[in-house]
Amino acid sequence: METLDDGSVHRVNTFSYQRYKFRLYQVSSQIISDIYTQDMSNILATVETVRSIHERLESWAASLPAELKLAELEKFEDESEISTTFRLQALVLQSAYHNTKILLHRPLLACKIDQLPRMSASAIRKAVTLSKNQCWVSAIRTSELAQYESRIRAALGSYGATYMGMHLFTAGMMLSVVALADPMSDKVLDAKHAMARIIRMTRGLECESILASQSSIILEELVRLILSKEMEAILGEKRNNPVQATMSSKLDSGISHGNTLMSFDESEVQSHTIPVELNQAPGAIDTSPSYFTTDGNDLQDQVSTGDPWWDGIDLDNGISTMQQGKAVLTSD
Amino acid sequence: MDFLIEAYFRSVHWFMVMIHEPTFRARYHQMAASGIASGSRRGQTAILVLVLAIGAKYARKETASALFPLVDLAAMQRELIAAVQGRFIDIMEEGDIEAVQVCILLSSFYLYNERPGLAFIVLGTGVRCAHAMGLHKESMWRTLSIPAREHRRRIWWALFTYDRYASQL
Repeated sequence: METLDDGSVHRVNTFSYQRYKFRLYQVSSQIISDIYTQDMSNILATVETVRSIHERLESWAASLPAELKLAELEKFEDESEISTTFRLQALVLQSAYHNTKILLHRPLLACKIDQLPRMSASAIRKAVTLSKNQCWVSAIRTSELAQYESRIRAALGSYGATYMGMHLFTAGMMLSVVALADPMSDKVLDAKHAMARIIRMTRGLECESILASQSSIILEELVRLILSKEMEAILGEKRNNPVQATMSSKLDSGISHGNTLMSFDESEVQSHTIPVELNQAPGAIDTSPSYFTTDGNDLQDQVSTGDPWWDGIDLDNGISTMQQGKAVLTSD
Repeated sequence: MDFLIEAYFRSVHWFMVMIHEPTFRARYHQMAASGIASGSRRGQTAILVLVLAIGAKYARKETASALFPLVDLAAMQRELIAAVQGRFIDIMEEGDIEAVQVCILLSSFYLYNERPGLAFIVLGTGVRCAHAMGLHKESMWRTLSIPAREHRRRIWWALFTYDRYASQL
């Protein structure tokens, strides 16, 4: 059942998705107006805004009816057209929800903890830890949509495929930043598994969406970079193999032929392109249900206390590693 | 044409509700039966044309070539879009809710056909049309019937979400 704005209660139908989408966008609209377009110098105010929008997002997720929750829909074997429509709607809604959380918490990742005024440093540090953890969890949750996506991929169409492709790309970038920040950390294994699931999905969506195929290319190169940095960390030395310009040229030709679907800022895209030649065969990807960490409650993230691991991790390190790879490339 | 319309409703309508299905189908049957599209309602005709063009993209290719072997869907799609582009200014001048619908449909077509810059600009035109007709202020709709108001509400929120989505890209 669904409760409308006027308080009346009705059965859920295939238009309900539009209403929930409108409400989600009302919340995410505030992210752009109150965070992204504001001066970040008042960090405390930003932290408070992030916290309140986070709560609104959680309330929104809690309000979703069973017909728009993937885990609930899985309990039914029904393959009717309405059932498929609900599954499609639930998939893109959940994907948008996780993406919105990344968008919300991402600005705080750039916060320079050591430059904070002492009085507020502790509260802000705690908030930044939570934000890092949330971005990570949302990226992992996005990758876990793979268990539902393959079943209805054929019905997604360009609109759904491009929409999801955007979210998958954002999640993939977030995972890469974490993995590159500390290539020897425990999180790297989870990041690689998640990247594998995401790339599996973007590849599956390629025939419907140019954006998905462009995302696949970039994410594959990021995986190569992660593996390369892991090797360097294990062996304790910089790799001597020359880097190839394959990635940059692929992007350049794609952009110049007007094939870029998104209005990427070119410099932002190129800073994430690190062509490194490695002959690593991809391992088998475990997609068995037991592997996924969701327990049917995947819309409610358990990040209220935060994982202290994030205190010591400098995500700027991950971002600069990506950019350094590009610098090495252009100097060859 | 029936085939293309079904393709549209199957592939796109679940994702974004841009048209009122019963009204659309009634108008389509009327136009198909009479063979005439009213010159004074270019917006409605443009919506039909866009639905056909978008449906052409999503029509199952194997089924299409089996049913209509002589039809080149890609060429048809290009012609249909060109027809709307050529009359775009006239459609905008006519204004009203159809102009907003045309902008959103055309903009999303461009977005998912590798022309994001143009998509953004056409979306902007749609937002301006919406402001001009007071789509953002329900207090201006008092003289309208309840179905008309519900229709406007849906189109406004579709425009809102699409605009926010575009700003995130």
